[in-house]
Amino acid sequence: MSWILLAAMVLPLLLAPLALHPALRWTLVLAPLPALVAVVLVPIGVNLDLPWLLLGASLGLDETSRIFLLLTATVWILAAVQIVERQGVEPHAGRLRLLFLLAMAGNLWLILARDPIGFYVGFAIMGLASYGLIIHLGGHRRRRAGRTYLIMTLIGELALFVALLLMVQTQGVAWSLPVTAAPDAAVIALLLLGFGIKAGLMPLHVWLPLAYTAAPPPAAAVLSGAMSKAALLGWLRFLPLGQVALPEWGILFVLLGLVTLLIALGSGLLQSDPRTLLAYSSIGKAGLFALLLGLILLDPTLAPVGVAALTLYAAHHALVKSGLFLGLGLRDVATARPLTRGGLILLALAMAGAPLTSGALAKYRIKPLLESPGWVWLDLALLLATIATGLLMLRFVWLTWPAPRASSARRPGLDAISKTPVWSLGTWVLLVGLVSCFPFALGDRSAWSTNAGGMALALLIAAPVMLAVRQRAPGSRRWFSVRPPVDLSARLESVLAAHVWVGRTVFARWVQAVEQVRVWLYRSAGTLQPPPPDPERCLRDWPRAGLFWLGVTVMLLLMAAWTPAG
Amino acid sequence: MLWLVTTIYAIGYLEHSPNRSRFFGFFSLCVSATVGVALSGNLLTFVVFYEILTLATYPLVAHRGTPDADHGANVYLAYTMMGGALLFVGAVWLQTLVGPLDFTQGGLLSASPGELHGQFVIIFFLLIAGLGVKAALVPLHGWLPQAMVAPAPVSALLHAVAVVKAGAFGILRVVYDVYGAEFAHSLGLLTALGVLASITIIYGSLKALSQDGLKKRLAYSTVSQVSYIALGASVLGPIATIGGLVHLVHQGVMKITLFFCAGNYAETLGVHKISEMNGIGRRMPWTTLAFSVGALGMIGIPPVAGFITKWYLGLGAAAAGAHWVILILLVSSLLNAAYFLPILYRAWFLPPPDRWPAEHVLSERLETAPSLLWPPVFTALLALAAGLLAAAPFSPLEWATLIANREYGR
Repeated sequence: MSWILLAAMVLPLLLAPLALHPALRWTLVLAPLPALVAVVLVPIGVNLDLPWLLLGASLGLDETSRIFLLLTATVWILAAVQIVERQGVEPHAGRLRLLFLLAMAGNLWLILARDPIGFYVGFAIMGLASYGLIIHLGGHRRRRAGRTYLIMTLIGELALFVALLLMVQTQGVAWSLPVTAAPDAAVIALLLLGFGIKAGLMPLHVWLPLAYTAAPPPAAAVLSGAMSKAALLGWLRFLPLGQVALPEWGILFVLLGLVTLLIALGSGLLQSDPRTLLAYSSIGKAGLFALLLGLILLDPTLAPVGVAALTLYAAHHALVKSGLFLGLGLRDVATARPLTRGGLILLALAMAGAPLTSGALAKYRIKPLLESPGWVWLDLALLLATIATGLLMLRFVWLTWPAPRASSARRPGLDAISKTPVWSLGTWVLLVGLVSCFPFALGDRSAWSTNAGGMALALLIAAPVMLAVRQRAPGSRRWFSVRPPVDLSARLESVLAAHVWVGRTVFARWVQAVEQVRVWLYRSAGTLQPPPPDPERCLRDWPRAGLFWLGVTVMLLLMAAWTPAG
Repeated sequence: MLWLVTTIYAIGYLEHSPNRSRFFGFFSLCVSATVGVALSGNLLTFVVFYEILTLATYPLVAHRGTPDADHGANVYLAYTMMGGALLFVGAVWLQTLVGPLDFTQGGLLSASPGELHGQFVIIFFLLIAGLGVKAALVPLHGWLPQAMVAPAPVSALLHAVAVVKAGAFGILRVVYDVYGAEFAHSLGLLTALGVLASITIIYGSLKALSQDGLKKRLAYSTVSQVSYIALGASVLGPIATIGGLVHLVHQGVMKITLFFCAGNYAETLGVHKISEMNGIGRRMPWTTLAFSVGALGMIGIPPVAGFITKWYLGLGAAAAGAHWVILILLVSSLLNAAYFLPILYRAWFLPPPDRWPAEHVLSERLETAPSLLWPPVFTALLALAAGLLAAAPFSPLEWATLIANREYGR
């Protein structure tokens, strides 16, 4: 059975060249299937060693990675359906499909890998290939998003590279993955940096709102649903969870996470593009993950419960968030508008963690973690976050309610493919159904009412606002004139640009100086010795030639005499 | 042992055997010189073949006969002759001190009396200066970009690989088989070499960043990348040695791919500058694919061969406690990304121009002449395989591991 693991990783790679052809675009949907089969058929603990691959690779599944594999493959399939159907025969769609498959292969590989190098390879392939997904639609704004993404991703990958180097150094070459390395300050800091970028932890989140807004909806769905979970998986894999208590690092994770959570939710509320809003919501969730990891680092005894709860939360978030993005992509289908509206509202409720949804269940499961240190301020902050999330999702629904402006009308090829994207809609409705069933299948009754208080408060705050806008109360127009604030990235970008400019100028000066010295050297060499007009003729003069011949003969004789016989 | 090194080295240069026939005369001279360099069993023989290599490559540089080519060739000759002279002086001096200099595993100088050590240090720098000219260590790298501009792609490529590698190979020989890694380390020579290599890596990358000519950028990238080999030699310990040795092959395969591609662009479309490469991926997809593999490998993106090098160099540095080497690797990777990724972006994501500078239709079916197309595709596959199948038997990594283990007596 273990060969299925290899198939899961290799099939996307094999299909990648085929998918370039428009007629074979449906192969995209096949690519993640072996991964799903592997989830069902391959028992936990089975290992597939591939000693010839890279520096000796190994694939396998454990409980955590099995859940990650399931949700990742699901998200990729759904996104693939939408890419095939909605981005069918546009120009460059082949490139999009190729990079989509490469990113998929990387993502599946990093989940299946049991050796650190395999994890890194998958992570790197995924990160680089996604660049093409982000800038696919072209244009200045997307190029900027892609550039920011690429720079941050490269930095993250290098941080991970060094962290792995240091870990392999202490663990030895035969290190395989479920075992984590002994804690080391440099390693943890590098892991925080490397995966923090991928997850979108503040202040490393600058690329994320740009990228999620720039990418086509299915690509944003995999970015948020599947790829950002790779960072969480990385943390779960490489951090020494459940071994020793690391109070300093725990506190750092908790504080970073909390700050990220609150600021991201606040920034999200100010956005007027639903995709950007969802991006900030993702950043907030990354903060929550970091917070939970910090709590586990503080108290290692929480690790078994905590890791399971975190995994469940990640599954919930991956499905719901990718569903939201995919739903945004289906919003322009006029015939199915009531359906998409209803589905988006359901998903938004789940994202907000309203009672009876998967969000409530996930929240219920992480409660023991959150209550473990017994900090009142943490409870208060989390209550605030719950209310803010509720408001954020209300704003999302409010933003997505009206029919989208005909921004997609400039792509005439779209209608030609299919008037109503039946498959995309169908799979999306399946996903919404799955998310709605989630709490009833997995949770007990006591979980259903979680968050009721927070949601009620959020409604209480939001209802008057909605009413005021609806009734055009005096002053309510101001809601529309709020401009989204400039994110950190814009400031940082100008600072970086200035640095690069100064560096370039200084280097250019230096090159100029070197060039001057060289010219001066050549000139002085030229004045010292004007070369003879024809050097070869001088050598052919008899007296000189004879002299040379004599010299060479004497030298040879000397050498013969000097060299000892034998 | 010797033939193992030779095999690795042979792989490094046999990559250029897919070649256009008119260069073959000069080329075979170079090959024999390179084989001589690889096969030579002591330092003096090495010096002789090293000089022959210098002379045999001069006509290749000057092949086109244009003033540019003449100038480049003259600069090349001036640099390498001086380098050869230094190397010769160093080798003779050393021979007078300790007698015949047969290459010995683990070095032959450590047994010599202590009062000679001061002279050994001076000789080491003489030798490294001589070899460093060809290996393009930083103050001595000036000839490489100059020789790269004028001549045809094939001779340019010889320079990126055969000549430069002869220098790098010489450095490895001097460090491992004449001085011995541990002895050189005890004299503090390895640290000096490492610093020199690091400066070269960073400086070469910075220079590459400011070039618009495709071949010039590749030339400076060579300056930077070849010093990875010296860097690997300068870190004490078998793992870093593996990194350096294996890069001898990996860099050759990847850089040859890049130069083949650059040649294809020039021959087929007349594209010589990076700023002319917009959308070239659509016109010549296979060539550009090969170029992408080479470029990604140079940055060290897995699973291309460059990653294996970087991994071993980093691991070796971590094992030896030389954390500054890791820092150099990081900065260098970022700089490599900064000068290669924009090319890839241009090639794949920007719309092609209405017409190319000088387009020749060399083939009906393929994007260019088959003899131009297959070599880069083949070497790109090799680069990919060397990374992806690094742990498989007969990979460059396996040979390098074997050699390194013998050097450190395991």
